[in-house]
Amino acid sequence: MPTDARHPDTPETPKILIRVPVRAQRGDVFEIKALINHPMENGLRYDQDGQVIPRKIIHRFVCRYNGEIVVDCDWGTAVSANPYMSFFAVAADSGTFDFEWTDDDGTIYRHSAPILVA
Amino acid sequence: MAPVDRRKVLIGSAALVAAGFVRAEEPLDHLLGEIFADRRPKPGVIAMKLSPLAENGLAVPITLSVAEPPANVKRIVLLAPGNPFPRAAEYRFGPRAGKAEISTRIRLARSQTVTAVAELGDGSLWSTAADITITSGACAEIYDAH
Repeated sequence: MPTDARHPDTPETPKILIRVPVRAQRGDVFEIKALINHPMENGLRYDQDGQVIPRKIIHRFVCRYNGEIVVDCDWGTAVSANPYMSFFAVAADSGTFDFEWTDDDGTIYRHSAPILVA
Repeated sequence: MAPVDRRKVLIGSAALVAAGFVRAEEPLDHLLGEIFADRRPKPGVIAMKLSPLAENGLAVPITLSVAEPPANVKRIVLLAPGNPFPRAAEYRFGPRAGKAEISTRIRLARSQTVTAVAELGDGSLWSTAADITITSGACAEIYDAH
């Protein structure tokens, strides 16, 4: 992601923390936690020169499990900085969880985590 | 930024409120109309966990859960009518969801009644609401601090 002069707080590659169980039994329901480093700039703040800092938030978050959706969220400016989500998935097959955060500037931050299903 | 005179800011914002420039809480009914047209939710089915008191509104934990299989939940809409942008978030569940439940952290500009609406597969709407008091909550302060 190109560094944006108006958003000096936005890291070039945000830190992402994911918690997915390493293994599970088929049919198990388990919690997934996902956190990403992002200022979620709401477009209401002013910088030191009195200029409005343009809005720049992650407005969509999607989690897929082997390509099928677990959750699909639209986020507004009311979602806190460094957005955190916890939700539940049901174990089907071994494979991958893919996480996708879409920024206002079009950047998509991705992360994935494997799971072994017995 | 030039040093801000706290008193001037206070007087200024009081004047703005008095002059009607600052809109009070956006009426919930208007918001619901924007999203659901003339349909309105009934209380029940969805539950919200929200602390009644928060020191600041920067990152308030909230949990929303619907007592239905996730496949039967079309979406959950979270509304913060006291915020400058009241439509806080919308959550949809896919075939791999294990429960119709999410937890997150939200920003609240001030004390208000937070509302969540669940739309089920049959199109029925259900809601829940909770009051929260933000103890140190000048809007400007919250939106200026990270």
